[in-house]
Amino acid sequence: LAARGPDGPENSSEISKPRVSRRAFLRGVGIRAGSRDEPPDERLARLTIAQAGRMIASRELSPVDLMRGLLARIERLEPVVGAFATLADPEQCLNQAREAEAEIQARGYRGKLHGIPVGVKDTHYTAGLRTSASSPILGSFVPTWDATVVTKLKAAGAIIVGKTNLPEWSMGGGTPGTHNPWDLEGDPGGSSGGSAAAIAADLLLGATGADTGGSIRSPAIRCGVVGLKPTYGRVSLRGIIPISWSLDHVGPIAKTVEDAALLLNGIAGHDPGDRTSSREPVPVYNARLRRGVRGWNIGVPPRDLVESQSPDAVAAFEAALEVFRGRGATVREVTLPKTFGAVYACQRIIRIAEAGAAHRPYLRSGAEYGAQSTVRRQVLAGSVLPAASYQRAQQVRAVFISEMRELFADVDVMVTPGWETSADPRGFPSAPLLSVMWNLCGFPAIVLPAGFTSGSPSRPLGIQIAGRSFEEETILTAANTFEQATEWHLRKPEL
Amino acid sequence: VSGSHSTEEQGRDVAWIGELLRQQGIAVDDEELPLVAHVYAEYERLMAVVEGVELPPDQPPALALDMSR
Repeated sequence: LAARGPDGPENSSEISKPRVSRRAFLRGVGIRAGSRDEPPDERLARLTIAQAGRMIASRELSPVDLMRGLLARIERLEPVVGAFATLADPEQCLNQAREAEAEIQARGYRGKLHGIPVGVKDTHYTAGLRTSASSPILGSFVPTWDATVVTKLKAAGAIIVGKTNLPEWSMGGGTPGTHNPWDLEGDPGGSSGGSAAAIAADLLLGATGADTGGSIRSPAIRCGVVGLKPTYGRVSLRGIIPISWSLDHVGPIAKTVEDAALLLNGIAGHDPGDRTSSREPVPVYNARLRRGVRGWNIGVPPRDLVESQSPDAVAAFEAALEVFRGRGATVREVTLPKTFGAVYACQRIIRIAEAGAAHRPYLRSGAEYGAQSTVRRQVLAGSVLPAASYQRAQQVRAVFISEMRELFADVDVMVTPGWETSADPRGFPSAPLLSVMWNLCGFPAIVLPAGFTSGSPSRPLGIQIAGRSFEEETILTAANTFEQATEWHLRKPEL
Repeated sequence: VSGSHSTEEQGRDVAWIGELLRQQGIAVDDEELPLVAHVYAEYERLMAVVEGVELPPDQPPALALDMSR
């Protein structure tokens, strides 16, 4: 498949040798940005979290220099990409970077997210920072408290640089106002399109998204980055503006699989404030990434489902399977559950019924939705859906979950093609079956870059790897194995 | 409303959807109701798919997701 952009090794070399000012940080002297005589080095924004973390820990890189480089890149490219709904005050970001630097000097290093600039989707409550979910109803709403995910990121030392863009209330397969860094005329996908575009354009080192039917994974595929939907309950939903309480998942969007693991460690874990959050122990997700897949059984969907994807996506998928076979895994087709034919219908019904309930206060108050959006008519339809149909969909869902557990008795992970998405003008956002099935059963799924389309403009393609509930570590290992055997993740859009 | 609906059926859908929304205290104008009914028709098709699934007797729903292994 045709590739686009500078080749990998050149990028890799550039990333691994940034020009940085080390003097003051190494001397342990408090630094004010204004006193730095060197211009910001924008190339620092291209570091991964793992790379920057290693350099900060060893005092090769100051969080202040990293922040200055990132802010310079945002200043230059945000007008082109439009990844953010709201940016934090740059001076506050620099102050937080200075505090991180001082803390590392005085008291030590908290971990791989300490001093790392990140963004969160604009559905996450952020104290003191506008949270609009791209809806005029929330407009200039500024929460007084943080979503648990945000609290956890801050506790890990990460610095929130901005809120990433999304379609109104997260309900859409595209992200109006945000451009795909690989094709600035094109859409980044949705609904976490701002996060995916920001990562692809190196405007953030890490980000979060939310996924009800593919809203982390679809834009991640479309922007050529890594997106992980964790197990339902793995990441707290407290302080996340909902679409659908039983289908919503929050997870990381990152440049590499290792970064996704680091971010997941930053946000996962039980939250007493969210009754749906799990008490399952949280492993160190990056600890065993390199153990490989030798001897693993990899399941793939039936041929007709694979071939319902675009020829380019199928070719990328087939090439990926060869990579896994070459690393000692066995690949075999699985039989999908009996209820699989109703998966799409169940997900759609549950989603819109729960969205109707969530929006009831706004609908009753006559609040005005966006003029171009179809959200209001969707949630109005959800408001009159029969309770018996919602109940029936949940019953079918319970059977589907049970059948999916049985499917995973014989395979370690499932690998599927990525998919191409487009928004439906009737108000039914694209919800590919290969995507929504993991929201319905709640099992974890990760997507990562696996090629480029053959047409012009050439767009990124991905593959998806899914696993048993709470086996994020397993799918991360499989994803890392593929990533380390390929160079797709090293390619960068020309910006 | 949907392709298989007659004009009379479409009118009925618009009427009862409007009434049901009003009963919930939600105001909808006459121009918007056919658009809502159009969206609802698609969900009606999906509801039929779900109704067609054969379930074990007394199958409980997955309202509280238990993801434990």
